Amino acid sequence: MPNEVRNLAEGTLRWVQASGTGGWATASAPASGLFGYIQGGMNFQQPRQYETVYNRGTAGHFKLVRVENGKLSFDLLWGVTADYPPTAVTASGVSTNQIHLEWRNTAPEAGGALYWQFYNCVQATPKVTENERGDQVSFEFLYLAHNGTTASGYLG
Amino acid sequence: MSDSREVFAWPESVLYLWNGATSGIATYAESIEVSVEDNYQKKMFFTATGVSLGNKTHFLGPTQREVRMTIGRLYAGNSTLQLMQSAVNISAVESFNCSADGVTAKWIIWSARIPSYQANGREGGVFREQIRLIAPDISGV
Repeated sequence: MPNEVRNLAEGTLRWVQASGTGGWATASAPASGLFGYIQGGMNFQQPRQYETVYNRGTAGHFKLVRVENGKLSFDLLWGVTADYPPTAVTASGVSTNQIHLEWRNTAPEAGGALYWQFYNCVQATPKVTENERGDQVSFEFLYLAHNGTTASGYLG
Repeated sequence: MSDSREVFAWPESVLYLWNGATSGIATYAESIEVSVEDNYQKKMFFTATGVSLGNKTHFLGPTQREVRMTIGRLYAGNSTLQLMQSAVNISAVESFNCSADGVTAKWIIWSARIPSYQANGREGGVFREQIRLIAPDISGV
């Protein structure tokens, strides 16, 4: 494996206001921002549902019958709220507030950076927790699809 | 047949369909149902004054037999629908082989027609189709 492993310190998470649905599309001059003070533990998952096809009672093959929406969640320390995605701005062409998320990892030994993109995210379950070592804001986004790892990013 | 032998299980059976020209195993078959209905005529006797002679009542027949078979399948191509459209009689054999106790059995449906075809797709599942066969007779049950 040519690359080193990645860690929290090499990552940034940016967002941009989405336009329409079904891929990385943005309006002209969309709102965008960089999440600050993200804590370790960000994770995402996108379940796929397969049905087992049986032939005379013996498992024969699988069929993909459903791709669920993905779920990405992370915690950050309450800091610059101006950098949080707007909850009152509707993405153009859809009825919900949607953003795209891009997780960037600097990877100098691989020639620059590595990216994950998450398309058409809506924010679910906002949560705030007071803490003596920094009040915590928890974000949970539902997304339609993700792309990664890729060597090219949109948001820098 | 001895009561000591085992019952048949789904993996131990194979369903064949043919239309006189082509035959083959009906793969991915499921939910097979077969019913045989014999039509008996109830004959009742009465006295001249209309009193029922219950002890003389009996049945005549059977005068007519109807075999119905329903086959559910997973949709994997057009062969099922083509069978219906072939417009010739269909025969179906469900063959059982319980190798554990060395017993085989089968039923054969002759000269069947397919009056009904259905295909169903549903969210979170695979496509299923179903055909219904009607036939005048069955053998080997």
